[in-house]
Amino acid sequence: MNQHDDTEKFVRGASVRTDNTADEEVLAKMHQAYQRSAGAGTVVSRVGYWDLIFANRIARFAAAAVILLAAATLIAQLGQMLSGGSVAWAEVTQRFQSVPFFYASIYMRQDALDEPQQFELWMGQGGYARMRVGTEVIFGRDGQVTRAFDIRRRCEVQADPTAAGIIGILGTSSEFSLETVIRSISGGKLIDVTPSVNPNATVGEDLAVFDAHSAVSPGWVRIYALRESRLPVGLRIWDPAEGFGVDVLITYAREQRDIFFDAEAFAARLGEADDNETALAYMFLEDSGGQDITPKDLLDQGR
Amino acid sequence: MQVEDKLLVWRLNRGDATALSDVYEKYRADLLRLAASMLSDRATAEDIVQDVFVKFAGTARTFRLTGSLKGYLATCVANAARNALKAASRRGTVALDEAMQLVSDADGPQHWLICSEQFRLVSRAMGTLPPEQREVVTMHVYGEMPFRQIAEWQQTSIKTVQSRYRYGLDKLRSALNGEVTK
Repeated sequence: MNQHDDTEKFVRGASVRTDNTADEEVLAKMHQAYQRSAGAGTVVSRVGYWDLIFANRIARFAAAAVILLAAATLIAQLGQMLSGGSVAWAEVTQRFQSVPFFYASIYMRQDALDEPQQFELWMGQGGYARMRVGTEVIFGRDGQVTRAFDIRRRCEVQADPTAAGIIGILGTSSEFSLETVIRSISGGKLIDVTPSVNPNATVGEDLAVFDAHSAVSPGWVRIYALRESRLPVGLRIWDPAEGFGVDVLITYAREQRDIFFDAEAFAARLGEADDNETALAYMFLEDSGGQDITPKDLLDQGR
Repeated sequence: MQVEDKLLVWRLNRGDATALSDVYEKYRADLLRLAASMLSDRATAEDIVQDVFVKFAGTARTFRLTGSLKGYLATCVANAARNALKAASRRGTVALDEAMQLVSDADGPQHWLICSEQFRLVSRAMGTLPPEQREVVTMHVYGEMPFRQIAEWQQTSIKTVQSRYRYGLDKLRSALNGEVTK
């Protein structure tokens, strides 16, 4: 070996294994220690989600996707506020349930100087979800990752854990009732509370801006909603203390074809050599006008 | 990936015990390599890594991650390894070269850590490095800690750490070449 790089590579490549029995023993001790710590009473296992959101940065990130649902649930509340209470709860719930599909582009940064990381999320009816993060395309249903693929290496992979976590949390959306959200925001002290309209943040009359603050941190969530349709279109989480931020753009459109959420169909096409990475990332995706977002003939022309 | 680690910690904060296995699976090999490369005997290295994992599990519900989880665990292992070396030095028990042979050769079914032949070679070569160079090389390669962080840990300048790394790799190369030609 004549180069530092070679030596480093050799050292790095020196592998070890572990004995399975010993692994189980160590893990058992870890679980015991973890269980014992539960009795210390320092952390309640079922704390409010919003407390978690503002108490832990990754929780806030993972919850960004969840907040999409929470925001959607807030439509009911927004609707009442925007129309002077003339919109009934049942109407709003029905309105939300009629949304067949939404797309969210989530940009997250860990601190003020961090480059944001993008997650793309498509949610369809029937519990179907599809995500793209980095080179991975991930399929999920009912909160479970079904399959994940690396489009650069063109193979099946373990899903990005963060994306898997988001899909998992989305699958338990029933926990994110409006009541739970509001109670958690207020630390359980206020029950009949709504996000407050921020008149200073509203420039156009067609957009309403709502702020929700945490009782336990300086962080806040801002929701941008359309007045006419009462649909939330944007969301921002911001922690001024650490510069952690999440920006979410939400788009509604007609539902994608079933094949868009079909992991098996995706896998079948993955091996086709003439598809480039763009075509693979957005395979089977149609734009809101119903056109293929990666038309093969146009891709061919660009070569 | 820091985000991945933050999600693991978040799950642990929420009471999700299955995340313990994920943390363990993700970092056990590197932490064991780190400890075994820094220390003289494998049993002590195994004890240290086990202690670090168990202590982490005991505090995981309230643990707040401010940087890299691997960096945090690696620092815990390195601190414990350094203390163990100091204790061994005070006792004057085992010489380093002799002890490194224990790491390299005593491979029995009772051990948690099972070394590849390549790791044995590396372990023996590590035994020829001065402790401060060995710390830098192992923490950078197996702990994936940046030089800046190692400099803070060793309480020295980043240039010194980079020099120690270069010299360490030079010596390792010589030692490994010697091993290969044996």
